[in-house]
Amino acid sequence: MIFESVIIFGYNDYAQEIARQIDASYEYIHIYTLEKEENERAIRDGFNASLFDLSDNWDELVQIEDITKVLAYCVLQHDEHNTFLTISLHATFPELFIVALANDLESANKLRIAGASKVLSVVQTTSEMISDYLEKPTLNSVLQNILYTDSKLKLAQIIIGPDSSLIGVELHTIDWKKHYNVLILSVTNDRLNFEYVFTAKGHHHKVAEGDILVIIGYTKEIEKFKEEVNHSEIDWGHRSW
Amino acid sequence: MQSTDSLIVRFAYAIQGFKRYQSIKNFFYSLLEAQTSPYSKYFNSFMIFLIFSSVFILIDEVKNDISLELQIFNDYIISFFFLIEYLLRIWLYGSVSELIIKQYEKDQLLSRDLRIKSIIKKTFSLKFAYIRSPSAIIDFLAIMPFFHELRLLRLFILFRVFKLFRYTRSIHTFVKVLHTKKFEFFTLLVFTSIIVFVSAVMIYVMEANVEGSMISSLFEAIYWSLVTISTVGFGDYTPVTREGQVVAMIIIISGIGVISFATSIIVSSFTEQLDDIKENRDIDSLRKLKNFYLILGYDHLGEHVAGKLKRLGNNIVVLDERANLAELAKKHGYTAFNYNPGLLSSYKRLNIDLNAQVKAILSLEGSDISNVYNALTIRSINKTTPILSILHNKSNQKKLSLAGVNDIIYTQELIGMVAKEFGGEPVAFEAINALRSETNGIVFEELFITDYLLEHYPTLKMFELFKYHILCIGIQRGKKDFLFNPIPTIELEHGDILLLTGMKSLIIEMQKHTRGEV
Repeated sequence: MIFESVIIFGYNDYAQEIARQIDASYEYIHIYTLEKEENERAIRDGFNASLFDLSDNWDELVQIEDITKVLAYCVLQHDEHNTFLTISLHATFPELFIVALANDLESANKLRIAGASKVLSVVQTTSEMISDYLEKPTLNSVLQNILYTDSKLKLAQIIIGPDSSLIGVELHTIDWKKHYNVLILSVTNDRLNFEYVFTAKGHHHKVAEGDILVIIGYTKEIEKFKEEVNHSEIDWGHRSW
Repeated sequence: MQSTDSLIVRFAYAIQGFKRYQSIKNFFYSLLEAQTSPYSKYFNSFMIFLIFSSVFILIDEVKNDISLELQIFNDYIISFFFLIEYLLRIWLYGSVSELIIKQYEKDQLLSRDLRIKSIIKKTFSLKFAYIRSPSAIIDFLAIMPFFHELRLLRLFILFRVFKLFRYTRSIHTFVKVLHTKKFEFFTLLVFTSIIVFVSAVMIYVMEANVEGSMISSLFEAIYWSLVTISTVGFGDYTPVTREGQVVAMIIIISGIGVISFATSIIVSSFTEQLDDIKENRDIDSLRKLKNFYLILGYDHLGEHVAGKLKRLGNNIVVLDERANLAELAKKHGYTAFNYNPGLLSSYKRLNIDLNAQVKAILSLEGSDISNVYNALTIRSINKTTPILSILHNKSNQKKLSLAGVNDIIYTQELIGMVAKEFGGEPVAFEAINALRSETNGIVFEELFITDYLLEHYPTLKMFELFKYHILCIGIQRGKKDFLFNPIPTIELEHGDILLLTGMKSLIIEMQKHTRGEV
């Protein structure tokens, strides 16, 4: 799921921040705005920008070879426009990965139905952040570290390939610490159903090809793990509690 | 200045400065008048007890001979208590020493001799203003039975019942409410009196000299009139003449009007006061609330934050100057007030100790200006309570910080970070996100290692996390060290915070277990 280019629809405060944050990570970023003033601002800030309208005219985008390598952010000012845009995009490009911003829960639901791959609810995210900050400060700072900064402790996802030696193994039985200092948080076979390893169901889940493992660990360990997990010759010793 | 003058003035200053005196006076003031002392309710209960026992003894006396001891109790001892209370209240009303000082300063300014006559006059009018107030008169009359030689004065014991108005909040409220409609009540009284009088005269004229009629005096006519107009109708007096019956019909019809008028006045005065009463009750309950979050602004964000914090077991108080949102907050079950959080008076009305009772103030209004304003208002009365605010426009960050906000949450930046992650490794990010939002009953939890726990669970292994399907992500040690994925045999230290994740129910089980065994 690695994207090569990003399209951002809209250039309000949120879009600006997103653009600013991802600037370093992607080669190609293009911003589409509904209004001239926003367009000019985007250009001033150094981005490729152009005007668009909400008609179904996606000529430019149709020209893109591999739409699955494009990440689209729908961050228009008004929720109705955003929803309309999402439906339109999803209808024309069903494989496009769309991240849409919602200002409230109702819009969030609509956007999901409209076909957004991920919906970001502003109010919910902010309120969670605030309550975590106040009530679970340690947790909050650790997670912030892991998720957002360039700390050595990171989150990663690993896809199990066909030759992986883990296939058929029950996760909880493996003593990871013998080999790598990583924590397996969850396993999922598609983007919607997570099995957390510490639940009863997750505990006994047998790894299958195509599963995605979510792990936490230091960068080096993660790299090592990534390399070797799809290797078919490793002997995973058993947990000795 | 003459020597007596200087003596008086020096005495006044001495009293003002005498800390012991002032603190005693304050104690009694909070006990009796302001009712803020924790002993107030004991005092009130004691007084109510005296009043009731006094009345019961009186009732008992009517038919039975009561013992001398009880009589003495009723007459002397109870009266004595009430006398002390009466004197205390006079003392508490205003401050004579302040009066003297004010007069002295005024006279100094105008370069003239101290006007003692003025002082005496002012003192008298001050204390007299209290003495002639209705509750003071009742108190005075309640002491009267002291002079039990006059048998009639024994009845003054009943005045003690009126003292109940002071000590019971609900009667006090009831009286206050009716007081607001005293003009209407007065009008009603005049109206009713006129009708009663006119109809009494009419029936008297019609019936007094008639054979077989029971109404034969003006007093009986008035009595009958009143009984009829109030729709009571005892039936002890009834008109026998045709004309008398016509008068009766007229009174009955106007009686309906009178009753409805009286009822509607009472109902409307209560309805109008109801919101105030409820508000006062809320403010009172606020005094006892400890460790709560004060949320300013009940927009969507305020609503969500309140919900989350409440689910984590906190008390919440909401302030919003928009009436509909304050109502909504109340509907959602929070203590909420329709006050403007940017006004100093709002916080004064709430009558809370920001330092002791408030965990943190969250200013979540829709504009940076409002949040800055709120912060400034709060900081003008309190320098230490933590204030958290959201930021809408990056350019206003410094202003918020200067206004005294400790923690600023810049939503846009936050969203930017999250959005970036969604595009980065969305599955991984989603996993953490789902955990944070506590869907599926799986949560993150912090476990603080106290000396207690350290004694019985010195290593991580002993918590048996595996059994409870709990994952320990790491241990936060001190401010900087985060020990990721610790080995089970690691030795724990006091102050460590374990970061755990797992099913909420199982984490609670584990916590119970650690507490249970200890």
